[in-house]
Amino acid sequence: MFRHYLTTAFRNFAKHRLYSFINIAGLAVGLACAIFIVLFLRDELSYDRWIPDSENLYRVEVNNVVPGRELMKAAVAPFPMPRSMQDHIPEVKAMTRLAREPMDVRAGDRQFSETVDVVDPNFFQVFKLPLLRGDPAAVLAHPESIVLSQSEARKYFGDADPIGKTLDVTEGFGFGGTNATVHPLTVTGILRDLPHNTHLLADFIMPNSSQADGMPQSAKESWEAEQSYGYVLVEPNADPQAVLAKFNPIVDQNVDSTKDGSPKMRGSEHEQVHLTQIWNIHLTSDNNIGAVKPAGNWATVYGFAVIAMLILLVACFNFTNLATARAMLRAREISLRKAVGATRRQLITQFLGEAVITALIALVVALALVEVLLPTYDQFLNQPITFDYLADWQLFLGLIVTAIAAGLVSGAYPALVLSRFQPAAVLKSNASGQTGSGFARMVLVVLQFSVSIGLGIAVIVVFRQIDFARHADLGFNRDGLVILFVGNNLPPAGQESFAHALADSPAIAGVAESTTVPFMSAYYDAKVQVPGNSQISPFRMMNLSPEFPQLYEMQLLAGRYLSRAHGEDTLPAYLFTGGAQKPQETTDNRNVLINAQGARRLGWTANEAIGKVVTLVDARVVIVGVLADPKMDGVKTSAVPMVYGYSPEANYYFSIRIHGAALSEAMSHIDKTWRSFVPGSPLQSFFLSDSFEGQFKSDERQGQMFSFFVGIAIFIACLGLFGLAAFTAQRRTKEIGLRKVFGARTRDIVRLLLWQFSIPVLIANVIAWPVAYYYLHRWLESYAYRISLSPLYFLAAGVTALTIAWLTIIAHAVRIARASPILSLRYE
Amino acid sequence: MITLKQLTKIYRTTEVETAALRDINLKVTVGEFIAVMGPSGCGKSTFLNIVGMLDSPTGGEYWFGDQNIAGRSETQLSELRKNSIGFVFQSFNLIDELNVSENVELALLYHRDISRSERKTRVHDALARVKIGHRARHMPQQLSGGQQQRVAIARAVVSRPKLILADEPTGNLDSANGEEVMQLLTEMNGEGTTVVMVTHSHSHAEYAHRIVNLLDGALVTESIRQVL
Repeated sequence: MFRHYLTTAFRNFAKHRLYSFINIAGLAVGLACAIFIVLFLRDELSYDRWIPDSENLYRVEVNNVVPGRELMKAAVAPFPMPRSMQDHIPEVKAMTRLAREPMDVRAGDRQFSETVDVVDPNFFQVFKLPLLRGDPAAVLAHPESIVLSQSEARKYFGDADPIGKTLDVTEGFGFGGTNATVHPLTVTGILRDLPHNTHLLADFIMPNSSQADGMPQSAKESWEAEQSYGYVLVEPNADPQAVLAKFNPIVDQNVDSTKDGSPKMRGSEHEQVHLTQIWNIHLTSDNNIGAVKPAGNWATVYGFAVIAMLILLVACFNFTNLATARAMLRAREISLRKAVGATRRQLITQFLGEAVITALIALVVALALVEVLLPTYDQFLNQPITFDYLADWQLFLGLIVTAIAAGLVSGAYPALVLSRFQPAAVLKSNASGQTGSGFARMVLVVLQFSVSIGLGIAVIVVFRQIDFARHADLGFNRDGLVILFVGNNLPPAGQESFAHALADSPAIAGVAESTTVPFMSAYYDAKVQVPGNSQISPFRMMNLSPEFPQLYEMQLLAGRYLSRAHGEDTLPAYLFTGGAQKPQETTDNRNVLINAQGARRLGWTANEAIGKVVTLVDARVVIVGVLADPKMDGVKTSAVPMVYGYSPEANYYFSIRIHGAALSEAMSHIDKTWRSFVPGSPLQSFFLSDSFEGQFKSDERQGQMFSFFVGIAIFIACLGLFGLAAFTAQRRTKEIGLRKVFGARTRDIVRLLLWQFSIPVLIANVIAWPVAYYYLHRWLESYAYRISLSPLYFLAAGVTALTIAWLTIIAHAVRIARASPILSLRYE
Repeated sequence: MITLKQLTKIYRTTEVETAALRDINLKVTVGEFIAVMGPSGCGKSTFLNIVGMLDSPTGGEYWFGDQNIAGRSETQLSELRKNSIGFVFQSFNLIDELNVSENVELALLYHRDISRSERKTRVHDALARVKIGHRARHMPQQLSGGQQQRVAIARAVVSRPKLILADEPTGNLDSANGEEVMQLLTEMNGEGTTVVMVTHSHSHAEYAHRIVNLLDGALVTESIRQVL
C-alpha cells in the first residue's frame, strides 16, 4: 500500500509540474529560511554552554539605584563582593574575579596596546577553559606570570615555544593614577583560542597578585565602585535567590550609599545584587554597563523565532491553498477509490502522506540551499555559523520532524476536503465535487498577506528609525573628528605642548582634550547641591578642555565657554578621579559649565543658572555657562544632568578636527607628532563617525536580516498567489468566455480577475495595521529619541503588497481575458 | 440478494424538493441479470448509486443479503462495497496516473487479507480474462475506449464480487466494442455473479433476465426476458 501511495504521489508530481514546483519551492524556501534562523538562534543560545561544569557558574552583577535617576544596570561588581559571598554564604563553593586593563605589551621588537584580563590565581579552576599548556591549578600561581591565547603567542613569538619566555607589560590606563613601570611577566600557559560564542575575550590573562595590576588598593577595598567582573560557583541545587537573600544583609553592612552622592538608603537597595548564570549573559546582562562584548538580547531571539514560524506557516498556507483549489482534479480518483472500498481514513492517510513526501523533498532542496548560502550568511552575520549533519544530529532530526510537521499542517485541510468527496456526484458525470470552502482559501491568502504586510511595515519603521537616529541632531558635530587615546603615555605636563604641536598644521582645524568622548558612556558621577537646599541632585561629570565645546560645535545657551585665560576655569583632578585633594589645590569658586537638563534639575532656566554657586562633591563652584543638551550617547538614551569642568591632569583622549580635504595630510601629521612625543608606544586612533556608525551596526544587521526574511515571506505568498491565480483563471474559462460573448472587453475581464485577488489583500491590511502598530509602538519606546508612526508607513506597505499581488497575477489575467470565447465554450 | 422496499430518494435545496426515486419495490435474486431502463432523468443512476451504497436513500428499506443497509456508517458501507460489489461506469473512470495493471490492482489494495503476490496473480488473471493482458504496462490515455472499458471490467471483477453494477457500460462505445462488453458481462453472470445494468440500449437490455423500467423515479413495468 505504501509503495502504491508513493507511486501515485510521484506520478502526480510529474504530471502537474508547475504546481508541484510551486509547492516544493515555496516549502523549500520557507524551510531554508527557518533553518537559517534556527542556526542563528542556536548560536545565540550557545554562548558559554561549551565551558565544562559551568551550569552552576554565575556572574555577580549590580544594579545601581539612585532616586531621580535612570536605573544603571552594570555587568560589573565591587571587587570585594564575590570573596565576601564565598566567605559568608555556604552555598557558594568558589569565586573568581576578572578585570580588563589596557596595557602596552612588548616582546622583543613587537609591541602593541592590548587589553589584559587580570584575574584571581584560581581563574582556570573556576573557568575550565581549554588550556593547551599549563596546569589550571598552578598556571597563575606565580604573581609575575601570564597566559596567552594561541593567536597572541604566535603574534609575539612566532613559531618559537612561548613557555618560559618574557612579556613586558606597561599599564596603559592606570585607574586615575599614572604608572609607566615596565613589568616583565613569564609565559606559563597557552590557552586555545576561544570560540566566538563566549562572553569572554581571553587573549592575555595574568594574576591580580602581580605588580603589573593597575587596580589601586582603594578600588579593591571599595564596595561602591564597580570595577571588575565577579563570578561565583554555587552548589548544584542551590537557589540563586536564596543565596542573594542571605547576602543582602552583608551588602547592607558594607555599602554606604552616600559615598557616591546618593541619598542615605539601605546598601542592598542602592546596589541591587544579581546573579546571572553565565549561559544567559550574552542575551541578558551583556547589554549592561561594562559588558565585554556587544550582546544579543532575548527580544531578538524571540522576534526571529516568530519570523521563522511565520515564514513556515506562510509556506504551509500556500500548499494548503493550492491543494484544495486543485482538489477537483482528483475528484474522480478519490471517488473511484471510495467505490472500490477505501475508507475516509485511508484516503486521509494517502493525502497526508503525499503532503509529507512533498515536505521532505522540499527539505532536501532547503538543505541544498542552506549549503550553498551558508558562507554568505556567515559573512553577513560576521559569526562562524556551521551546520554539520553528523555532529548536529539532534538539529538534523529536529529539521526532519519540522518538515514532517509542516507537511501534516499543510496537508490536513486538503486531506479532509479531498476525502469528503461523494462518489455518486462525481462518477456518473465526471463532474467535479466540492473543492473545499472558497472562504477557507481566501482566509489563508488573507493570513499570508497579513503576515507579509505586517512584517513589511516593521521593516519600513525599523529602517526609518535607524535613519532617523543616524541623522538626528545630536547637539554636536561628529564628522571630521579623529580621536586619539593617549592614556598614561603622556604626562599632564606634556599634554598641552602635544596639543599645540598637533594643532600646528594647516590640515588640523582644532584640538581638545577630555576624559572621555561621545559614545563611550564613561562619565564620573557627582553630587550637586544648591546651597541652602537640602536636596542632593545626582549629575554626571565630564572633564574637558576649554576648546572642547567649540571644537564639537556644541551650542551655548547662556553665559560663556570655559577659557584657559581664566585661572578659575580649572578644577582639581580629585573631583574627577577620586582620591585625595592635594594640599596646594584650591577648590572653591572654580568655574564649570552645565547642560540645560542640569539647569532644569536645579530649578533654573539657562539664563538663571549663570553665576549661580553650587556644591560639586565637596567644592563650591560657579556656573559660567549652560550648553544645550548634547546627546553624548546617541539617541537611545535621553539627556541626563551634566556638569563639565576642566582638569589638565585627568585627560585620556584628544579630539582632533581635521579639514575635510586634507585627510591623509592630517593623519600623517598626527602620526609624526605622536612619534615625536611618545616614541615607544603605538598610536591608537579612530574616527568618531566610525564609533557612531558602530552603534547601528547591530541594529542595521538585524534590520537587513529582517527585511530579507520579509522579502522571502512575500515571495512565498506571491508564489502561492501565482499558482492560485493560474488555477482560478483556468476554472473560470467558461465563465469568461460567456462574459465576452455578452460584451465584456478585455480590460473588463482583467479588472474582474484583479479585483478578485485584491479583496484578500485589502482585508489583510485591515488585520495587519493594528497589530503592527501595537508592537512597533512598544519597540520604539525603547528609544529616547524616536520617529512617530506615520500612516504613510502603513499605506506604503499596503500599496506595495497590492502592487506585488497585481504584478503576480496580471499575466494570467491578461492571457485568459484575451482568449477566444469560442474555444472555451466548445470544449466545456 | 437485493431487496428494496418503498425505497425513496429526495433531493432537497432551500427552494425545491425533487423526488429522484419514489417507493421503489424490487427484489433481485442471486445470479440474476437485471437491466434498468428509462428516459433521461428518470432516476436510473440514482437507483444504481443507492444499490451500490454510494448514496443513501431518504426513505424505505434496502436489504443486501440479510443485512439492512439503513443507518450503516461510511466505514461499514466501504467494507460491504469492497467485499461484495464491483462497478463499471459509462466513462470508464480509470486513473490517469496509474497503468492498466495498477488500475486493476486498485480494487484489491484495500483488502488487508490479500497478499501482494496474490494481488499480482489475480490482476494477471483478470486482465487475461478480458484479453487486455498485453497492455498491462500501458497508461489509460494510450488505450481505445473499448480497451479502457475492458480494463474497467477487469477491475470490477478482480475482487470476485457477488454483484456487478454497470452504469451504461456501452454508452461511450461503438457497437462492436459494446457487444464485446455485453459478452463479458454475460459470461460473468453465467459464472454466478449478479449483474444490475442501467442502459438506454434495448438490444443490450435483451441480454438480461429481467428488464425493469423506471419513469419519473417510479418503477413502472417489469418484463422477464429469460428464465434464470
